[in-house]
Amino acid sequence: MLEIKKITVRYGENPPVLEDFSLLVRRGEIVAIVGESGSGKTTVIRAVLGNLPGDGRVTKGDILFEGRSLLSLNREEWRRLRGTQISMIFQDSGAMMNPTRSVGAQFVEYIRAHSGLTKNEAREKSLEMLSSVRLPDPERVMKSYPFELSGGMRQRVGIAMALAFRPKLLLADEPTSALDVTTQAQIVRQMTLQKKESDAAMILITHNLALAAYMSDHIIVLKDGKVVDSGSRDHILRRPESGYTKNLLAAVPAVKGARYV
Amino acid sequence: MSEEREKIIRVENVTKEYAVSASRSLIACDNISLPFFRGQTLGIVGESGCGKSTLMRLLLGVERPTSGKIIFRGQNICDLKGEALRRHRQRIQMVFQDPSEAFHPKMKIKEILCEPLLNFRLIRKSEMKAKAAELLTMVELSPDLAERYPHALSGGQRQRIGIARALALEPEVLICDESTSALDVSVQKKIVELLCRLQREKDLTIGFICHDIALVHSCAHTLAVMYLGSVVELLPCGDIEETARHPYTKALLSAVFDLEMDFTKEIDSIESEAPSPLNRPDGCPFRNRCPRQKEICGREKPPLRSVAPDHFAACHLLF
Amino acid sequence: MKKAFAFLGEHRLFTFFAAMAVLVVTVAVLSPLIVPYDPYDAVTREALQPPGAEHWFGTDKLGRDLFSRVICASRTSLFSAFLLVTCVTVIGSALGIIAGYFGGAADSVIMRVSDMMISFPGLVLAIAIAGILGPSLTNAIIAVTAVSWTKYARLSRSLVLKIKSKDYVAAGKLSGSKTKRMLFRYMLPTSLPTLLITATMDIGKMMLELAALCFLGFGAQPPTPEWGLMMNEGRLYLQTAPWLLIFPGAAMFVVVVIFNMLGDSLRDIMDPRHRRAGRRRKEVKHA
Repeated sequence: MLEIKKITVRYGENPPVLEDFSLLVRRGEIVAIVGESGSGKTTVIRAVLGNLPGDGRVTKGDILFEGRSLLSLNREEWRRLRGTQISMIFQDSGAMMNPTRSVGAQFVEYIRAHSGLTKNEAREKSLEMLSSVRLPDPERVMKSYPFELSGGMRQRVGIAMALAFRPKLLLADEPTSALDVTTQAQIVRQMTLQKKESDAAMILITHNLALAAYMSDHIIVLKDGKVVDSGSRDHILRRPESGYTKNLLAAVPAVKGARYV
Repeated sequence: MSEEREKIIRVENVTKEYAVSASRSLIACDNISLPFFRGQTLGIVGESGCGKSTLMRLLLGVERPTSGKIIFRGQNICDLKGEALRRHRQRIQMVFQDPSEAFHPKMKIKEILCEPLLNFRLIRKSEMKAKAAELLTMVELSPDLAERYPHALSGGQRQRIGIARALALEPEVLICDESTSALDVSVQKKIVELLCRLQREKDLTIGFICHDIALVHSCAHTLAVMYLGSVVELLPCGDIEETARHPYTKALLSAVFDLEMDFTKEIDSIESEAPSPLNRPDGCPFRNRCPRQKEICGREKPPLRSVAPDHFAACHLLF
Repeated sequence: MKKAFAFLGEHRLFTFFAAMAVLVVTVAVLSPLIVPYDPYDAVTREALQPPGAEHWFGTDKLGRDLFSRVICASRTSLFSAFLLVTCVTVIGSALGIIAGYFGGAADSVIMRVSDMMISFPGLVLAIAIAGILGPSLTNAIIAVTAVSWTKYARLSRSLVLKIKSKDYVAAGKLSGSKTKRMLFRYMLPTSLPTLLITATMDIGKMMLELAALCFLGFGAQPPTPEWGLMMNEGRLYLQTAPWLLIFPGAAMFVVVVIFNMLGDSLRDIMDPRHRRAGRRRKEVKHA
């Protein structure tokens, strides 16, 4: 599905923020990229989406999506790809919406921008998507403004939008980090459910190693732009290769875990 | 254990209401009673909007409760004003959540650390350098940082500076408001270890406010779980997975992702989200999310009752 | 020293206008020493002479040398404008910071008074005040101060409100800082840069307002050399001796432009948003 081959990303002449990074996601698989702030994990997603900010660019390697290189696409080809075949779930979907327009209007506009549907068909589709992510009373959600919804509901709307065109690849950037604990569990459950229904591939960016372990098939641990560990969940949790991963594992607080008092 | 320990702060029936409009008010804290034991950590857990930050502001004397008392060593701190309040602040200090917002951007680390001491005339200007070095060493930082500005430091270093500043006055109580939430996991662990070490050395009482129940569990002696302005469970922080009784505490525990969990099992979570504090249900605040609510839950708000020694819960279903 | 030169080299525009401003101020300070004639010395038989070798700017109706008068007037105009801006900035910011920091009753009173001041047309109110107090330069300054402080009060209040809810302000208070320290160490330094930039940008405007009052006869009184007043005196001879109007007007124009541009370039340096835009332009140039 998506193959990243040894890419290096640089901003201007600065040292690379991501070095020799490779990744392979297959149909229906979830790959998690775990790292602390400044590890370069968001850079991966931006490189895949082709929107590195400022003067960032991929200086080495290639990114292949279904066998095609993403690095050589022009603007029109990107437009056709983004939102339909590759879509994104943000940390705070509410912040990505226009606060002065209703959720429904924005959803309909989003669908129509990427398809030839009429207004009514797009509305039908939005309602269908909203109920598929188990939002209670989708009619009311459509009429609401982003600030009237809770964080969890906004995140569900974000997921519904990202899934609207049955994308082949989902990029999720810290999708639950801004949420309360119980809401996080709900959203995670929703995402795993969705994963079972579709055969989309997903790249999950998170700082939460336990969440990565729960959701994904393959985990990549990043530190300062370099891969320090990569492997299956079992491999990472039981037989990590680097000292960094071991430290990270030891630092995750657990209810049954160590106490300092 | 708690019988031998002195109660340094007693929060007694504290309620805080904010008027939203003429007819409506927001109850941020509803009749809360909590003890802080000397030299121990009270962990306060809850989701956003549960009133834990309001409680903290009341403890620090930044705001006054609508009713109720906060007794600090026999004195009701809610009545303090002006100079008395300023003096009181020597005894209770706080570490902020976001270390990038907590310091005057134009002050050097040295000035930041010594500001409280100079304010209370505990040191002279000429002693600043030595004192700053001493405080920096206490939080395991190099004394060379004294001449830098906060923006030149990493998040973890800044949070250590925050702790050093709070402890400069040698307070008896330290309030940590989500002090580790903005940090990376590995840094978070080190900060918690530092707090626990300082607590042992200085016999410090800590109020540790956090949304991560697993983290609070790792460093607190007692755990208070708050929901929509009420304390729903207060329990000794040992084997909480076994001892927790309130359905909300259980829901919080089951929603934790940790490395010991069963990865094959579907994650448990209660449905829906906490209602806004403006729109609290009658009776039990947790009622409309509770999997087992009964008729009485809608009628009466359950009081905090003892379910085991040192263990209290507010739930009709337990009695 | 090297650093200072590097700074000036990087901000050419600022350097140029700062140098010009220094020049203007120097001329104003040294004006009694530079001028060829005594500005008060009336020689009636030389009245209304056009500009020439003897009198560069010509003479006025009393035969006073216009060049000397224009130069000496810079002293009056410049220093009254500086004094005015200082008064306005200090009074306005102090009231604004107090209103913002304490809130409550202090805030309501100060801001309502400032609302009242704003709802009057400024110049008319200044004329009224100058009229009541009697026409003199000092009273003109008081009058303009009375109508102009509100802008600074609003500005500093909003700056204070912006930082008041920040954690580090709460931390300062929790560290036992007294109110005086909170105001001078926390509130003032964070709002000062913006206030100073605004003040610099206002020098020109204030100078014009004062000149307007003087022109209308509510400010400096004859025979004091003052640009606004001189223009008023020259007004009657517009047809026969236009230099009486042109030279004071041109002097005022040049000085106002210098101070406005100085304020502008200062804002470009201090405001990070403008700074970033500037840097980006430079990068594009390099590329």
